[in-house]
Amino acid sequence: MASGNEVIVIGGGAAGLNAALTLAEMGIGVCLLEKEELLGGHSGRYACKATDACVSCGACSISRMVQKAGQEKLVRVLTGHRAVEAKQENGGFAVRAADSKGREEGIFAKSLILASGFSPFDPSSLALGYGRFANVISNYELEIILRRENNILRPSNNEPAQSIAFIQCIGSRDAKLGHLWCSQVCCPSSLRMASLGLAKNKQQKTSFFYIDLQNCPKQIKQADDKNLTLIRAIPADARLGEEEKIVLAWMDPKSGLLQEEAFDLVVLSVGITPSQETRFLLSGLTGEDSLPKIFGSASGSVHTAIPGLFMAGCARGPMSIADSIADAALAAWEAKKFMESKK
Amino acid sequence: MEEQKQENNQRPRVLILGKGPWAEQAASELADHGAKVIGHEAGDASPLLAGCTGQDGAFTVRLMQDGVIQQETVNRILVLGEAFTQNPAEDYGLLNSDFAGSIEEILQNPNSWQGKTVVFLTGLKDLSHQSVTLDFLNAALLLKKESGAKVFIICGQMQVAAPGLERLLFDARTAGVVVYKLNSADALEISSQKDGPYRLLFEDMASRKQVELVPDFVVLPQNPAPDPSLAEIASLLGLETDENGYLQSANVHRLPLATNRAGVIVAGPARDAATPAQRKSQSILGAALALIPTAEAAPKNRQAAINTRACIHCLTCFRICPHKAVHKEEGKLTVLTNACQACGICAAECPRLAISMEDGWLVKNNAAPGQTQATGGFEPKIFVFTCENSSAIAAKAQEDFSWPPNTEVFSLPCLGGLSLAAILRAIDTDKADGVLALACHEGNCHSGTGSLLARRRIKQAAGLLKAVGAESKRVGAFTLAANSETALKQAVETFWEQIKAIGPARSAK
Repeated sequence: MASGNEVIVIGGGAAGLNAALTLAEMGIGVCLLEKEELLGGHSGRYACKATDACVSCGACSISRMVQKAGQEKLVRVLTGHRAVEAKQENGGFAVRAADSKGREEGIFAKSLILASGFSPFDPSSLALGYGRFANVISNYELEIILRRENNILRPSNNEPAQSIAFIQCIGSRDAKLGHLWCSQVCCPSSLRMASLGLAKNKQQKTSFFYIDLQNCPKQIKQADDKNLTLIRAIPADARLGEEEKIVLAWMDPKSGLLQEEAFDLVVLSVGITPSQETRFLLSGLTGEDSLPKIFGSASGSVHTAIPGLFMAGCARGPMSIADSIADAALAAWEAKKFMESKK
Repeated sequence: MEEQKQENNQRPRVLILGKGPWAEQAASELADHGAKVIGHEAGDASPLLAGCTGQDGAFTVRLMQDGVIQQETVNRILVLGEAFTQNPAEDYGLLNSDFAGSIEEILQNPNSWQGKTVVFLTGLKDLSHQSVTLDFLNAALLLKKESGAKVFIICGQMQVAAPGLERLLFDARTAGVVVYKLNSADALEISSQKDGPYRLLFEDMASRKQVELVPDFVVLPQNPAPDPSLAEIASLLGLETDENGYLQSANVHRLPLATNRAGVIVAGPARDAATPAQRKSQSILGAALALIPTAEAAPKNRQAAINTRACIHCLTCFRICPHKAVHKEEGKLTVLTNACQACGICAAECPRLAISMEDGWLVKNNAAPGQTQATGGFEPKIFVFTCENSSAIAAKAQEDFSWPPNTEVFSLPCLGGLSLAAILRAIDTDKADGVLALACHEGNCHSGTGSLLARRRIKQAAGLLKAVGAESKRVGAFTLAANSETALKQAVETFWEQIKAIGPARSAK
């Protein structure tokens, strides 16, 4: 069994990267485990949303952290390895990691940080056409389109979208689903993408459907644009119109009447939900299905019921890139404190 | 004895600027880990900062307490500030304190509101804050529980983007707290009655009916506001402030708690952290980061060096350095190695050319130039300057990207170090047909001003080229982020085409 690392960090996204880098800065050896072939996690695929000035989305920080992690001697990066089991052993933690061919490696460390991220809510079950209509996509898919194309293109024909609807709170703030949390990041990030689209294409018209606009005083000030309409309603229904347009229907809050409009592209801002992987690993460690209780709760912190086991970033609840980076640094510090207390 | 003395010397000394529970928290975290905390002895009034020189690991600070100035040497400075809130009474025009006021007034005696009506107002005049939502929902639930009062919340955008708030909102609604959302402050009509409660009139967006409330008390929001002393601290420490007056810019290079000056950490209320949970975790993290051993801010072989014989003490470098890395003592200027982040801004701006960057500063990218298919005809020679915080990373991250033929690529710690002379030299001496500066977006420059300076110099160079009858478009600047791979490719291709169209800078002889 390989050792030499003092801490194992599971997850190479915003939180995992900074947990590893902060530990290294404190002189502590780390094994950073990432299931994908590339480091970065969800936010590692996000686009820069600056128009001319930076809008502080934080996505470019991931590129810098990935570069740093590759150069840092105290960080052993193990990509393409999924943690298939984690358990307490000999006063520390043993993790079994498997690559795509099923080859396994055992890793042991004194402390373990779960930075295994989140699962975007799957909106296929809703009547909004996701998975059925090419031009209904999630905000994550729009991030990838923007990163690759440097423009907002319709998946059906790769032409710039002239009319776009963003629908917020898909799978968040939803008591029926039992999702009693706000995902925190989707209002600012979708408004940034909307503003970027409008800056690139002066003909573009964007409608932004929401419950309450969260966390975005700056973006609201910028939203004072005749091509961006903020609508306080969530469309419940989508059907296919001509030219693969998407027809949305909603209750207009001003008139109280049902309204319909066709859009070139509909972007569903899907919520941050607990990842099955985190849930599975945490259950194995704590002996109970503890993630649903912890996730996004007011009392949540980087600490867990098990000394030496910490959680950071979206693995323990929705948070922005900036908050994940801070959370991970704190988890790294608490892991260091834990190891010192054992000496 | 000798040993103890040495141990004392090695104890990290950390200055805390701030008051309140978060400062206590940071002080105890620091003390628990062997640090000597300055400026925060329990029970004493916190000293005021009167001056600061030096660098990470060895700051000399002047502190004023009871009118006496004392000098201290500290390794790190942790700025926490104090929690402040805005006074909203005037904003809402509700000045009769018998019927409107702060949350404390109803919490003094929560069971005295039996049979009464209480309205919480938030987010109508200004965007509300999660900390107000947290306080209001907790108070509303408490009033319901203790007194069974009729409780209403009238809000603009309900801010629930913090852990536990959506659940708390759900609990409050389940307990009978009624929430009305309005789209603007104009939608709410407030009239005052002589020596009586306020009358609130508005249309409920859900039922589309007029609602009239005459609450026994209107609770007004207290949004967090920056500590007024932060402006002075920012000026004395040379720190960036944001548009609201908090000590930080929104610059992502300062994540999680860093500032433009190495060794100065800003956390908690000083950094726009407003929820108790955020303030608590930031004060602990601030203490933790203050304990990480000091290191040189940038490799020594890339930092700035001042040639004291050429220097005329104009103090341009002292004023312009975004990292406070130029030290002035008895008329002599030196570069502080724990502070210098190698941006090169001082060297590029020095009017006497008395500052040079060490040999490792400019890195020529020796990767094989791209095998772009031969286009035939004139292939321009282009110099591209990339920033190691953005464009250089974006270029490296693309497997399928190759620079056009004849391109010389350089990487710099910051484009702020690209001087006007260097841009002109590339065309004049090095016989380039075009110069492209790939800088960071405004607000995303690691050195704050470097990217703006680079773009300004490109503009100046363009003006000079025009003045001598050359094409001003031979020089160009473009802003990019570390994850703008496609934009980088497009910018380089566009510029290359542009120079190709202009033609050679000099006729072949």
